Amino acid sequence: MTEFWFNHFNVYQQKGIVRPFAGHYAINVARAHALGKFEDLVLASAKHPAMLYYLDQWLSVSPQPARAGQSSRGLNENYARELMELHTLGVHGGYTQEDVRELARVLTGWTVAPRTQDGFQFVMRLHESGTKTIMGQSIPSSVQFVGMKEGEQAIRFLANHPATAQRISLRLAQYFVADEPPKALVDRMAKTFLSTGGDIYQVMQVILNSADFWDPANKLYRTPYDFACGSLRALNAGQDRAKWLQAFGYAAVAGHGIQNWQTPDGYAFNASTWLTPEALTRRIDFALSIARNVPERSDLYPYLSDSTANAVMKQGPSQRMGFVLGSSELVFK
Amino acid sequence: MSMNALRMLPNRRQAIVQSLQLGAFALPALSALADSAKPEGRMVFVFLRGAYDGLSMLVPHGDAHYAQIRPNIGIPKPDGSPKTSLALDDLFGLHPACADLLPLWQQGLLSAIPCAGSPDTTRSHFDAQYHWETGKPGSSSPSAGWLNVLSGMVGDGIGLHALGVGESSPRILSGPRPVQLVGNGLLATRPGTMAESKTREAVLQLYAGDQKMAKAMLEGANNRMSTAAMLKTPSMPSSSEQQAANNGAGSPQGLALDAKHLGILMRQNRSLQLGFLSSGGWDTHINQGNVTGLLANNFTNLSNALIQLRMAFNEPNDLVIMASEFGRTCAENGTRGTDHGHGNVMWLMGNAVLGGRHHGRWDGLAKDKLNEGRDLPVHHDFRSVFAQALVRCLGFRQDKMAEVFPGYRWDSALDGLFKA
Repeated sequence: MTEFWFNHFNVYQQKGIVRPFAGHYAINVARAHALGKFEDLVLASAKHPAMLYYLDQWLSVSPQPARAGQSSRGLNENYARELMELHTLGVHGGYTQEDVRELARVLTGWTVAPRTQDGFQFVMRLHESGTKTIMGQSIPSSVQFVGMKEGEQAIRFLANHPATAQRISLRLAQYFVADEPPKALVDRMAKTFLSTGGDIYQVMQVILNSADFWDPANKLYRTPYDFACGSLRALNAGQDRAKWLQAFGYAAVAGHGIQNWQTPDGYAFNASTWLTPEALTRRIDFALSIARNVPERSDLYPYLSDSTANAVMKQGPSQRMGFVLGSSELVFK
Repeated sequence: MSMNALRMLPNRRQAIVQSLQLGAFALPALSALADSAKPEGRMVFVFLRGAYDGLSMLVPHGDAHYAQIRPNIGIPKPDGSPKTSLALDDLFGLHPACADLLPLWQQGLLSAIPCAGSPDTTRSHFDAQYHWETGKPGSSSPSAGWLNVLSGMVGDGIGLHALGVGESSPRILSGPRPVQLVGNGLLATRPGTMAESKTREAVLQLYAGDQKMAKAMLEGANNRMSTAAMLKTPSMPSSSEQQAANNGAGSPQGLALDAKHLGILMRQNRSLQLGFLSSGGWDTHINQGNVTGLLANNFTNLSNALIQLRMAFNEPNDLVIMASEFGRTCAENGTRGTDHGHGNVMWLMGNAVLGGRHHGRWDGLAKDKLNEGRDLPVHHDFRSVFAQALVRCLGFRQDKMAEVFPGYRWDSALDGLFKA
């Protein structure tokens, strides 16, 4: 779940000074809220320096005339756009360019606070006053909700929107069930999402209790990162530094370095992206190499088809684990 | 020979080469190429990631401001010795580490556009490279790379038409179209476990129960073996070995090897009309050196790579274009380096290039002529440069250009970039 959410609210370590914040972000945003309320997750991400830096929100200030001595920077719509397009509603979620701009105005003043513990602050003098309208909602809705509360209100609104429920449910189902999950399942998830106020735990229950989740026909191809982690696990190599480097080196060369995707859409996780001929041969190279001379694990054999097991057993004992790793049964999950 | 017969020549030759070497079959041209007088050229883009210092390579020695604002890192006026810039004309000179490129300039095969770049003013490498690679300055929305889009509009519009050597998955080539990507350095020359027929057979047996996997496996193994076979060279300096381990953009040293691989692969498969190479290591904030030093070493390696490309791409309409995502500050900074700027020098190399001169606007280095008083301005949008190149060298239709570069504008100030 942590991996899924980090990727959904992706940040890129090589942009600006994001790097020192990325680990903190993974633990305190993606993992801390992984099974909580979706709106809390979006808010935590919105206020984290990794995201504030990554999507330039920290630079976005009110375009109202600058006071003496202030630089006249202006609105930066980068974060507001991705918040709607990727984090919540989705590109066909019913918002317009005008809504993006209004959301950016609402969020002016949200910036980093380098010397505080959580790294976030709201600066009223950078905030654009006045009423904004996002998808028909007036913000602030009343005088008590002026300032930072405007942004919180907007984010809660977006996080609980039906388009968001549908989009998050679809992506979760694609991640945990199948590249093209059954629509009925996604609809049930979205319904639960809306009726529970975006309770991710409850939405996941719908997946786990569905027949679709357990249906062997619903296979997911392991991404290079999945495959690197899965291989280390199958080889019990969690403590082996050389094998770690080899595994994550493989993932990086395959185009799936750890938390290293540049754009806010995050890594793709479907088979059409990763199951390509040349990439498959490099995966085999890696499997045969990392597992060479590792003792075989007969406890895995019951999971293999007869045809796979036959091919594995034709190899010498020192080669067998490599063939197990590279088998259809283990390149899919 | 009639005009028709002349026109058919390149196609027939292409078909023969393909059928001999790859078993591919020629398809009638559809796509966005103009119907008549197809130039059939090829274009290679060399992307120097990290913003190379164009004012050290194309040295404006004739501008009095240059020596003033670069007291330590400036390249001196030409005096005929290798300790100064090499005179190109009264205004510009070439870095002495690029001496190998001087004959190309003198023969009229190499030109420079000193104030080119992206209209977006970001100083972030990340954003600027993204804009260059998607062809959409100012937009950070997920988007296909423009070379990927273009690869679906050239040649037969169906097969593989673009090749990248070096990076595992550069944005500029990513998108819905299939492209060929080859690893950097010696990675490309290794067929891996697929070279052993026994292992190959065994892996195919492993997938005996899964036709789709078996098919992918077989196809991948064939690709890798043929790439490795084409690139097989008996001896290779061992220093390039290390480059093979670098992910992402390789180093400038690795670039010459990648350039060589690109040349070989594009010669063998003539349906590949678009090539992409990149190198990192150009972000010289500190101690960049002058006639010698860090940057000078990079220029030596870069020149080697360009010479490799010149040897492979010397047909009438072949073109090599080189650029960075933005330029560097005109003045040196407090640590004898340069910081992120805006406009930069773009280079063009090829027989069709109207070379031996610079193109486009140049207003000098006076402070009031610079972007924000510190950087070269962007007088020419990089998309306009590529648009000129695509029309001239690939015969790409101008009315289709907006599909590759939405919102670009034709820049008639660049109409003289190529020989008439």
